Amino acid sequence: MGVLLGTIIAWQLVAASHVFPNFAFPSPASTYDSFLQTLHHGYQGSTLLQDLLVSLERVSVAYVGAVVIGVVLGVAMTQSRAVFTVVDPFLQFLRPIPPLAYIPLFVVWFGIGEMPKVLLILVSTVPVIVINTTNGVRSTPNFRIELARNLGANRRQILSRVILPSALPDIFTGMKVAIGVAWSTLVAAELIAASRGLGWLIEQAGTELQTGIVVTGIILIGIMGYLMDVAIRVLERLVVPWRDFM
Amino acid sequence: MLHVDRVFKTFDGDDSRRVTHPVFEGFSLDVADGEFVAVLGPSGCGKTTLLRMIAGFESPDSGRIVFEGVDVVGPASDRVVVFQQPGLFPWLDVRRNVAFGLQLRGRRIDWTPVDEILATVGLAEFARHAPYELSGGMQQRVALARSLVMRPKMLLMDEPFAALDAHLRHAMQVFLRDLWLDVRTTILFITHDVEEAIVLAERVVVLGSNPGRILGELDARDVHPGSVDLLDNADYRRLRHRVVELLGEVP
Ligand SMILES: Nc1ncnc2c1ncn2[C@@H]1O[C@H](COP(=O)(O)OP(=O)(O)OP(=O)(O)O)[C@@H](O)[C@H]1O
Ligand SMILES: [Mg+2]
Repeated sequence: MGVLLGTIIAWQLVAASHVFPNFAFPSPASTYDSFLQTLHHGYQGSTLLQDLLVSLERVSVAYVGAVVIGVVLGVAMTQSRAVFTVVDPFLQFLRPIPPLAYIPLFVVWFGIGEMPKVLLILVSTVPVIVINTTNGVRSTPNFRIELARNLGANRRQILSRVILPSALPDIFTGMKVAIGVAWSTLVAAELIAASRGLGWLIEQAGTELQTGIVVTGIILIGIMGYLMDVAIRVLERLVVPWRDFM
Repeated sequence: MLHVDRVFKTFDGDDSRRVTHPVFEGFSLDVADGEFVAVLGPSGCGKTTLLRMIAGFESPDSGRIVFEGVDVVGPASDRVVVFQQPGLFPWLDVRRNVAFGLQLRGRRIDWTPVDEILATVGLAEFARHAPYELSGGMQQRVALARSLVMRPKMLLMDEPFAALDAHLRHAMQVFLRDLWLDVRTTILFITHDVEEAIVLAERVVVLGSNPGRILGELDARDVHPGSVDLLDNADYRRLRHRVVELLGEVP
């Protein structure tokens, strides 16, 4: 809290010193004005709340999809040599490519609706989940698997009753990283012919040098990312209260 | 009950350890029904390897391991291991940990034996606790209960009390001994603690290394973990002396 206050004060001081022109470096006060302006009157036909909700929806749908696909793919890669051989090269190859690079392809393939936007976020997020899931599966202590076998568990039971729960803490680690990735891909996703959304707001306001609105958008994305991170941590504490006791 | 018959076992060496000496070269051991056998020996002599072969986690290169008239080909719940780490499933409470094996046969189970065995190990009131809320000794008792509830014909224990402090270790020894007197399950108990082997088992098998072989066997029926002061116990002193003699033969 103190850090936050200090940052705002420093920000105001730098802005007030006029080292940078106001349009390039908006003060907290003018950012707040822009915030109120977009909140009440919207910007280019879209209110701030609409922008926020539409972005939240895109990120959430993509994120949930990425977690489901990532966990399934990650587990499948550890259980089947064939799946691993097919999927892993793609994963390694795609990882260093920035999501922006896919946009032209995605537009050609999926048009300009919600589909390419959600898919872009999903594609950037899935690898994080996959990697953490495979880590979790592989780090399952061997004695745990042997004990289960000893007590009569078959392959399927070992997977569902020992390996999956053992991998949960790592899956949650992946989910926490992934939420940041999802939100940071949003701006790129909303470059695709969007007419609302926080990412769209930032880009649109940027081209018109409305930096107050840009900063508003940035802060809101930060807050949303943070809130979702908190939500995942709460979920984590409910689902894997034993994570620190492994 | 158990025949280990002229077993050979060598691990494939990795590149870092090019030389691999055989762990066992024609090792044999018989265990009778209801016996409590301790296997004692220096580190690296092959105790864990022997136990893992009997459990079915490793297979011998040659020779046979016959349990209840049938060749051991893999792990089964009639021979249950208890390792040094309790290895409880942290996402299940104590009661569900104990029920783990029974629930593999079907989710709907009769909970009576589970609760009975929890009472036997003195943890009835901790049934709903998470494993990490228990002390090391309590966790090891849950692990024991999880094995016992399967009504195994044989318990294979690999230094199960080695991680416990001296006081708790003694309590667990008394507990295990009483349990054995009660249920009479055959027990193969591995340890490198001479005292533990002598007080617990009826028969102590002393192993030597390179390759793993039996240096001698002792009849330890007359010494129990309850004994107040072991050093005043002539039987204990004699057995202990004999073990030291046997182990001393190793170069
Ligand atoms: N999986 C393995 N791969 C290669 N070598 C192994 C493996 N397991 C055991 N060994 C080797 O076999 C020998 C016997 O090991 P084992 O673990 O059975 O000994 P131990 O008597 O149980 O020793 P300790 O008292 O330290 O537990 C050792 O030389 C060990 O290095
Ligand atoms: Mg060992």
